Amino acid sequence: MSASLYNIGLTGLNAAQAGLLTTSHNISNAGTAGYSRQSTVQSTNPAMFTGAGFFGEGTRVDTVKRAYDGFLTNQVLAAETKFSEYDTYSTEISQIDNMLADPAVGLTPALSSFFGGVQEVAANPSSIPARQSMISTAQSLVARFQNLSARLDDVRAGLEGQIQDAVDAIGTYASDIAELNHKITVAQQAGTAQPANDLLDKRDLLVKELNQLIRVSAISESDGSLSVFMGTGQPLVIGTQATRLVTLPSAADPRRLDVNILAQNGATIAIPENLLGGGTLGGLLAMRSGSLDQAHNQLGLVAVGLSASFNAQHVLGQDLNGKLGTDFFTAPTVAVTRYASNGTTAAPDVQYANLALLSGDDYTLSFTNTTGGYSLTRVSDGVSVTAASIGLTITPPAVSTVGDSFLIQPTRYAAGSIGVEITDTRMIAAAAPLAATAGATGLLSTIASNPATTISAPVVSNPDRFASLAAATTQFLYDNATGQLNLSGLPAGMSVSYTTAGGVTTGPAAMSSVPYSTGMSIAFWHKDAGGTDVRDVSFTLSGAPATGDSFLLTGGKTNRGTASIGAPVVSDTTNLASLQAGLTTLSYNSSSGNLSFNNLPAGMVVAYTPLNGTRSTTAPVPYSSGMSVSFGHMSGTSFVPEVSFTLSGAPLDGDRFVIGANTSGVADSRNAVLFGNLQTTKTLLGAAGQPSATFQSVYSQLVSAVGNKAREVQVNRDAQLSLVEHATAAQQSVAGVNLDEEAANLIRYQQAYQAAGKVMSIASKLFEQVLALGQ
Amino acid sequence: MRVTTGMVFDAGVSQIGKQTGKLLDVQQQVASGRRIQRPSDDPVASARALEVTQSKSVNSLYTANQGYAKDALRFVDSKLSDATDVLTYVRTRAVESGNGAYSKQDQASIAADLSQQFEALQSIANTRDATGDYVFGGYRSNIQPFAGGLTGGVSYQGDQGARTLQISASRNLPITSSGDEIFNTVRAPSGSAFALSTAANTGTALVSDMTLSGYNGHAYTVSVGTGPTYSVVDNTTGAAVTPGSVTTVGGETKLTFGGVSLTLTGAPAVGDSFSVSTVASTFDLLGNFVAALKSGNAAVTRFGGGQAIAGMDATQDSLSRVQSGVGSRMVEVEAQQNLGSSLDVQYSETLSRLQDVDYAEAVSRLTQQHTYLQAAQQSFMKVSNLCLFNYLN
Repeated sequence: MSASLYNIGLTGLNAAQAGLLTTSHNISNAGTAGYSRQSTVQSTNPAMFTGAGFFGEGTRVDTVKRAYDGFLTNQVLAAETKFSEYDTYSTEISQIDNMLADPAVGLTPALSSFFGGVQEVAANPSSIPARQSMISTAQSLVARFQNLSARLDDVRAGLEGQIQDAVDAIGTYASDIAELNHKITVAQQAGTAQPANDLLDKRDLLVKELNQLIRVSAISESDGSLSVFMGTGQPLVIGTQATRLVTLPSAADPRRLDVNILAQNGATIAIPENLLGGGTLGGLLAMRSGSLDQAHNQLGLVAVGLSASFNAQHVLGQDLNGKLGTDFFTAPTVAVTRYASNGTTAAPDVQYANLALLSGDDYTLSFTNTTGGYSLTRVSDGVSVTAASIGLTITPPAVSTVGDSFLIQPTRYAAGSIGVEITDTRMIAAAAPLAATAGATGLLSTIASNPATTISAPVVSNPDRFASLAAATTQFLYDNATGQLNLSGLPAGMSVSYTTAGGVTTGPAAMSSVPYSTGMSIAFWHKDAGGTDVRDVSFTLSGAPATGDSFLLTGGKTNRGTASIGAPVVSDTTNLASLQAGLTTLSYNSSSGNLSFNNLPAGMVVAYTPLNGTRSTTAPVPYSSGMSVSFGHMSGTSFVPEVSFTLSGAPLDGDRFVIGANTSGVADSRNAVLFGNLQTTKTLLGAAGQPSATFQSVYSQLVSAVGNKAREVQVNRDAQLSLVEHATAAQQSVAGVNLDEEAANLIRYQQAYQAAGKVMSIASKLFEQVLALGQ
Repeated sequence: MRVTTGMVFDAGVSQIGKQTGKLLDVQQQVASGRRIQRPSDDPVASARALEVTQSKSVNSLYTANQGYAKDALRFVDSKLSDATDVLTYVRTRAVESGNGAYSKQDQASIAADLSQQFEALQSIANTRDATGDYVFGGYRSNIQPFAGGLTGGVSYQGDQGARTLQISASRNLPITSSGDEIFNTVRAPSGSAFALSTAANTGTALVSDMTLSGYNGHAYTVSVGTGPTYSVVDNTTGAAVTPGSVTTVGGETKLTFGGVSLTLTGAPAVGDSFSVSTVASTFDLLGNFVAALKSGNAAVTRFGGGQAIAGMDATQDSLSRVQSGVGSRMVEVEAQQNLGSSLDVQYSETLSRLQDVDYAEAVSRLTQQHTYLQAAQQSFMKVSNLCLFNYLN
């Protein structure tokens, strides 16, 4: 009896001690990450049957249970992987966001100060300090582009490094989980099949941490191991086997890292980015392709747009030395990257064709046959495009290998490689290369009386006698009977030479007539102080003159009428050199009301647009006040204007308008004004066939896109954070340790222990009572 | 819900963190005066602010150009006024010279005076601005536009380029006129023409009379050959014209061609030339008058004086035309300046509205956040101190 009482007391004592142990464990691990509160599960010992019924045999501890709810734990995992993705994305994009935040370091002030420099030149075209300020502001603009690009490169390098770290960490977690799987299987299968609570907690913690790197799903197997899958079901851990992950340069672009599975046989299989969602890695990949590439391309688009359109205008101008402009900025180039997997195909040649059609996209070109046939797809969404529709011209090599591919990035590296080509202030082409003159004052000019004959514009090689030649009117009167041109009005002391089309030269000598032959050239000379002949002016004659026809060389006469000619605007350089070399003359004939053209370079066509707006390229050209006239050439059936100007006012018969080189026009800023206009001209991002954005608005769009994305990610992160907090609270309310509760448990088990001890003490007293009976 | 000790601490710390973050945001806004710390705070307003910043800077570029334009126009205006003074004086002297009582010496002294005026006018036409550019040379601002002098004649070396400044998005304002337009395009009154001897002539022949009857308005050049013979070229058509008649009586030669009857007095030299045209240069007109005064021939002086008066009037017309253009452009610049400054204010307001902080509101928010943070901290301290273990001993 008392033995039984002892035993019962002892079971109580043991159970209370187990309770105290578990409670102490809970208290000690209250701060341990991933710890689940444990409790003892007590039950009664099998009862002893007697005739009087069942007598209890005390208590026993069945197991130590951890407070665990699989559903709540999964909720936390789901919330955390999203949070971790947004948190990473948010941290990374805030670097760009902060870079664009400061209005003093963005592109806008550099762009504004550059165009301020341009306006300085437009206002003071002959001022060297103004020109220097344009070059200096251009250099600081270029430096700003490069800084921004370098900053994006830094962010990119940081991302690639973090991707590498994340993939390494995922591999480590996977092998740790596989090892714990092994320990748990062994521990739980040993003997009593009791749960290895602390190991399970540890494995759950590893899964939780892995899940913060990449979204995983876990399935418990019957042997107690946990299988872990990532993405859309790629196994990461199966039993005690962990998949090995490595990062390798992408086949398409060696500057990017791809996540690869390393198979048992050493082969690597790249996992497509879109399969790797959630967690830090998902956030990094989303940042790289969703924001960083776009920001880099968009910044490059501004650089390409600015440098290409500015260069296009600059080469239409004339610098202080009277030479045509050259590229102002380094000409941008399209980046074409060969796939690492390619055979031997030569790379296609890719050039910009239409700036307005460029976008911040990258493209993949794949050859479809052996003679340069190709398909072109947009990287972001895989849609097929044509080269013309994306503003590029692509010239494939003659021989190609089917399947060879190239990555085409029209704008990615433009911001990093932009530079200023011009350092000599005189080389800024602020002037227009052509000037227009009403009448011909101050210029030597030539007149043929008969339209069937022509006389070229005079080439003045020595200005010494310019004034005397200009003051006189030297006339060549043709006499059919003798075939001679009779000279009159030649300034005193000048001699004449003539050269036939065949190259036979006669003179210089004093002559009063020269024999005419078509294509001949005539020159006037004077003797310098040493008696040497110096050539002053020369010109050529051609055509079939009739008796009485005359050619005049005059200093030019002012127009009698009041018509004026607008400054010519050059838009193409095909025939510019010929236009500059000659003096193309428009003459007004009052009886027909038409304009006739002399010295128009061969191959050039005249188009005119009267005020009513109907453009025509057919002769004759009737004069109307306010009309605009263009010289150009035909490209197929379409007219390409090269130089355009307006005519207005009332001309009188014989009035002339001359288009010629803008000699010494150092105060001319017509081209600089056109540079300045580029600041507010829409040149990029064509919509419905018309460019819709200025450089500034493309940059603003970039700032807005980054800002919006940063905000969106930030909002999602905050929302996800509260989800994580709620889910964690729910999970912790099940699994977490409450110290108050544990304190109460301590007292409870202490009291139970004391009570069980009292039972034993009473059993002892009872036993003594029995012994006393015998005394 | 069962609350665990960890949750009490986590929730407390997380709340304090959030409140601190918000307080920091408001503090930064108040400290910097900017509502938008980074584009993500308000992406739309940030992008808009960049656009407005550009518009504002473009506007300030135009404002600078307006200042340049106004200075340049004022300078041109003052030079044109100077030229007007010279012309008025020359005209007065021309009228005086018609006084029959004036002796040859008087006329010679007028000629000497007018030689000075010629140079004064030429120096005005060759004016340089503050940066050393010739104002009336068109685009050729580095080349003296009116080269030469009284004896050999003045020829225009510039071009007809009109220097412009962009004073608004759509307005390129001409800031000078070419010397060609001002001094070389002097038009004779309707129905008349100017007859001039070329300044480089070496002979003594000068124009003493010209009558027009059925004149077609073309420009003619009369060249003197050996003999002397006279050949006439119609400069307008480029055709040679055979003079209707050439009669020489005493020192006078009378030529008729194209409705013009021209009388030359004196002995021409081979290579000399004379012109008849409806358009002439101020310098040729003035130079011819000085030569006429010096000749001492009454007919030549009379004709030269009359032509000089007509010529100075015509030049004055040309000057007035240019000067009134300059005046109206100055008015235009002023209008643009007013427009530009009000636009600047408007842009500043827009920018301020987009990115500046409302201090009253921000400071009140700062106080509010401060209170919240204090409350979060104090309440956390109270809650976290509660534990049953405090009572176990």
